[in-house]
Amino acid sequence: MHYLRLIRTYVRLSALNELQYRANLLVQMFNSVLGLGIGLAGLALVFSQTDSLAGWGPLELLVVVGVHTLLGGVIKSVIQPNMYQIAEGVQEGHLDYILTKPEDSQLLVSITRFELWRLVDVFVGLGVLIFAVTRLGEGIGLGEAAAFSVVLLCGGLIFYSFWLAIATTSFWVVRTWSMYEMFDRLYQAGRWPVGIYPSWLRLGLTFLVPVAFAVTVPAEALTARLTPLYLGLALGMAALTLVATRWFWHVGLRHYSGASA
Amino acid sequence: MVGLLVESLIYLVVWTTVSEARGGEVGGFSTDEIAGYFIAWMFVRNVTTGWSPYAMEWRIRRGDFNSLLLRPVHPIFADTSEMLASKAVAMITVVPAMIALALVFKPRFELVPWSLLALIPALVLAFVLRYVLMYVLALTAFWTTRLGGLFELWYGVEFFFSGRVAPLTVLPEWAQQVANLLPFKWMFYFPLELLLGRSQPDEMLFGFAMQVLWLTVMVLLMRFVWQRAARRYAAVGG
Repeated sequence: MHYLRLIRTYVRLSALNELQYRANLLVQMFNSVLGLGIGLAGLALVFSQTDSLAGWGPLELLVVVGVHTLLGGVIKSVIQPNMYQIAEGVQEGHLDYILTKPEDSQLLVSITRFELWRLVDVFVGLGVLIFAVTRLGEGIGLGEAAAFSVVLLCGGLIFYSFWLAIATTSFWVVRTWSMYEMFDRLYQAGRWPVGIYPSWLRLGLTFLVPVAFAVTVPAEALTARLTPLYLGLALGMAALTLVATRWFWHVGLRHYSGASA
Repeated sequence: MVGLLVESLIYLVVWTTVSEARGGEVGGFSTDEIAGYFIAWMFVRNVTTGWSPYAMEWRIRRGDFNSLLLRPVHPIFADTSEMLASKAVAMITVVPAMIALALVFKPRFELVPWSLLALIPALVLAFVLRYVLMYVLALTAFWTTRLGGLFELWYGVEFFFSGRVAPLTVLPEWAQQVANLLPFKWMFYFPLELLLGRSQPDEMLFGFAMQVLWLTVMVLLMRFVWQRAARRYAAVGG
């Protein structure tokens, strides 16, 4: 309860800050629609040549695009801004102000900054998902919707853990920028189901950059491909990465001596 | 550099999958030729791209541009030399990445000597053309201070009509016609086809003509915009 209140306060502060720049909403909407348009044109191009890509039909790939856009919105509005703040905070020294506050440090660094307007992508992704799922023929039942929510949440948590682990390395390596960028680029590979990639790459996209858990598995849940094994794997992976990252964050903190003093 | 590798890898996999589903051919490319296309793609991209208009936007917003404008030479010279240097460094990583991809995907290349010879001027022209074009685009930041939307739109159009997402022969007929008129094909797909030895001599001559034509238009446009922009320039910061 206490933590929820803390989160609410920080979200409100970020929102108030962003509301000063309302024109950015229009820019963001334009970019979101454009990004979706490019994605759809790419799909149209592929399906002008074939009926199915590694067993995925047009509507099913649309589900993948929907999940990718939705989760991309969450990453860009909630996860990334905070992780950038950590690296910057180590370099400039303002991380120290956060650490001296009498609250859980991992929670505080994860909620200092939200980019409200980026949430547009979440709604765009949801729209695409609803469009695709309602046209998929049999539609989806309550069970599939629940399974989808669970694996999507797992995907989000796994992604958060990986980002925080990368951000934590900035205690040792001051320039983490290139790692951020690499992670960001590899996320683009998730626009297509990971099943199309050769096996060595698929492994990398599952365990090095968890695109498979974040995008493909949720999309599988909506297209009746999810096996109990993957549901379990997603849950296990989420739990494991959360614990490991928390441990790593504390190891990092112990190595940190501050730059502002 | 990683971005380059990932993007090429994604579309290499997507289009070889499509090609296999169609029985080994798409847009006049066999499956191993598709692999060759996207490996050569990395080389041509590293040569022809590099400078981002966002750098200019940043300089204008931060006020770093003030001191550059005071120098007696056009800022484009300083930018050019800086970029050529970074390009040379990038090649050191791009070439091994290409070799690695070639080992994994076993592409087929046909090296045509006259075509490779023509590749050199084609690459130079493509590079200069794209560079000038980006510069003109960046200069609009003098008016707007922010590029955002405009550049994203530009990038989206370029993505399809330059041959980055797929060989242009995969596009529908009307889109191929449009691609011939736009500058993007001549900055990317044209040198790429020369590298792969897929151009006929008359296509090559037409390509060079289009490159020169677009370059002339863009240089004139740049001079025009630059004169106005420098007059319009209001320093931000100090």
